[in-house]
Amino acid sequence: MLAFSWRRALAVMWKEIAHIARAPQTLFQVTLQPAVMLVTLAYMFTLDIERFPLAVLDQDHTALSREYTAALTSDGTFQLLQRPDNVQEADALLVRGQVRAVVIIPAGFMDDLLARRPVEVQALIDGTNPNAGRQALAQLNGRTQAFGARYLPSGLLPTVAGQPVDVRTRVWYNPTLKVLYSMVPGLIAIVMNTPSFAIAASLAREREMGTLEGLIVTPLRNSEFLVGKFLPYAASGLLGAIFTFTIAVFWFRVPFRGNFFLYLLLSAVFLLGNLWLSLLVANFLNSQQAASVAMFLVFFLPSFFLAGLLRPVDRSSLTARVEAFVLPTTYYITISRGVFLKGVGLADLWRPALTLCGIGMTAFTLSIALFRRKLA
Amino acid sequence: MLARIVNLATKDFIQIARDRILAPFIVLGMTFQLVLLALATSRDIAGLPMGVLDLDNSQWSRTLVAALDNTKELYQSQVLGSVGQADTLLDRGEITIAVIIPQGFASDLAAGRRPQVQVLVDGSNVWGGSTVVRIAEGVIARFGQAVIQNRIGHSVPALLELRSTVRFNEDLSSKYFTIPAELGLIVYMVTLLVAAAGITRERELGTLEQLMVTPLRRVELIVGKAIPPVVVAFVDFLMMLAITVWVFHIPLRGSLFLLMALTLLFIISELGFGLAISAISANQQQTLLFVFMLGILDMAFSGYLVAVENMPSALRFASNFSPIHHYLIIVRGVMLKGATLSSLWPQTLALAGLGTGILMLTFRSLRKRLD
Repeated sequence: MLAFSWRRALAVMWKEIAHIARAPQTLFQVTLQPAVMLVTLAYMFTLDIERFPLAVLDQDHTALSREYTAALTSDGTFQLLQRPDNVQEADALLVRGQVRAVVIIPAGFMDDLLARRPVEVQALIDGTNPNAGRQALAQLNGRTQAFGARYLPSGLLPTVAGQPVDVRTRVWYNPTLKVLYSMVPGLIAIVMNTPSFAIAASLAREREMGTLEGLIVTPLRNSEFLVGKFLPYAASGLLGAIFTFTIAVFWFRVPFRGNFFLYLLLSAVFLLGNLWLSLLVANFLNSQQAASVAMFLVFFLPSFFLAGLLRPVDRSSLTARVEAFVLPTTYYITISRGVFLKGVGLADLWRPALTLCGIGMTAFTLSIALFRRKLA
Repeated sequence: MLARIVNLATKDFIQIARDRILAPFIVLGMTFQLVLLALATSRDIAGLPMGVLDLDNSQWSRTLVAALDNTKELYQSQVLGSVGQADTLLDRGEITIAVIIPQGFASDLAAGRRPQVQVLVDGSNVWGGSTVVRIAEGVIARFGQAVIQNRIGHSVPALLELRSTVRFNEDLSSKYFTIPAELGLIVYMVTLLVAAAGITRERELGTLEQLMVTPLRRVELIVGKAIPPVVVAFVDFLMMLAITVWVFHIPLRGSLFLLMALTLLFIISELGFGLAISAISANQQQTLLFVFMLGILDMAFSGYLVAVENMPSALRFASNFSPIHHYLIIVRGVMLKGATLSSLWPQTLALAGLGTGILMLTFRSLRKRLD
């Protein structure tokens, strides 16, 4: 058996680069596409507001009920879109999804409130988006209580000073809980899956076209072939990391508190894990179509839903933990948010970094050991 | 003409079936992935790790810690030894929230001095961060009311009360939101992947030229290529719908027939996008990456990440051109709200319009590229 030769590995690399560079679309895809995706995705979070379309069914028609409606909607969070005349109409608005909530003010609202008799206002909430529903409910509750408190006898007025416990909440790393700041570092980890998709298709392509079989008669070793494949995609991934970083920091002004070189190093570690895992999966596939389906099943969907981009990984669910913790994207999200927002160093990130190295080395060894040149 | 189309479609089916990996992946893999995703995301946010530094260690402080620990969102994973340890664990992401109760908490409460409870929250994941802020402040406020009640012997009456009724999903359970969305997104992916690969594959392998010299007409080629993705996606849809309803108990309150008909319409309009990718890709590697890009953007327009009404106006406008945006309104409408065509006609029209438009454009550009 011949020893590993960098000369042969580099020859494979140049061939792969030629394949990428030959088609302008491919060149764009492996270098700029992550940045383009990041721009579009990040724009969704730039407004950073919660808007709830609201309908009010006012059965009281008094100055006070109008004042209450104004108190609910004055700051624009609740947009008063509809004034239905009856409950059926209000419900139809919810079914069509035209409003997220309906507030029903009962007849006698003003009389009762001025006479200091307890009043009940009804709210219908659309529960199909539970998170939005819960927030709408909490907001409506707060505004209603604040409005009601104005009519309490002054002795019973609940004041801040009257609260027995003084809560000091401090949100770290993102004090205003700005969605954009949290999402951009997370989304970088998702769009950085692009090179892994490209490399899986590239390996499956060789097998589909039968070009792998031709390699049997050459002195090229499996490790040389795979390393040669790996290098250009790792390089394009690093370029992608630099582009996405630039967009995040200079376009979207996401605070970057950590060390840039550490970020680049850990991005390389992520690429190591993700690209080799992708090569390992692609090794078992005979066609590019199978590769694309496998990539979406194994990488895309879990990365999007399970890696902790939106909701933290559900530690009480075994499947969530297993799927999330073999996925390199999970660790990259932790790393990216850590370096960007928390400004932490290797002292705090050694665990995800080491796990990524572990995934990379395991997948590397297995890919080379299990590599098949022949068609099945 | 029909016979030639059927022949071509049959050939594609055989090709899919012969691939030992592709066939099970595309049929069973998708359904399996739905089950895994549903299992992993159907629960509400629960069990976020909390560190507690109780410097008082009195009955009142332990009551407060127990109240926090008893919520389903938080669980006490760490007893902290110092404030510095809270910093480290937050930095490492091992806890999402740290609660620090000062020394003298109980005696301050008894004396009516306001003891200061510190709550430190990891805001790097906004969803987790805002949840723990809401939960912790709610628990502490209720704790405060209990203290007042303990002091004055009765509770403060509320004059104005909001009584809420949650429609369509009484418990505000997450799975009603996540599972239909995941179902829609997987149907979307299957359609796009199978449709986009079809013609590019023939082109890349050089078999397209062989097809060209057969009596197969251009239109027949495109129609024949369009059949497999529609069939595969629809079969996947039926399997996943069965699991959604019977295994995960998501209600199907509207008409099954309507849901099936509108799903077919959705698949056909998505097919147009798949064939369009086919038309602009030179090889399947490009196809895969284009699908990835389109998929991620469409996912964003689906309203899964941000509600569409909270997006900047340009993107709100763009979302009208995304079939998945309309389809998810349809799925949620029919399944959860029992909606009928009389309230879903805007989405139906949009799907029909988008489908016709993109299919016509693709037909023309494909015919040109095939000549």
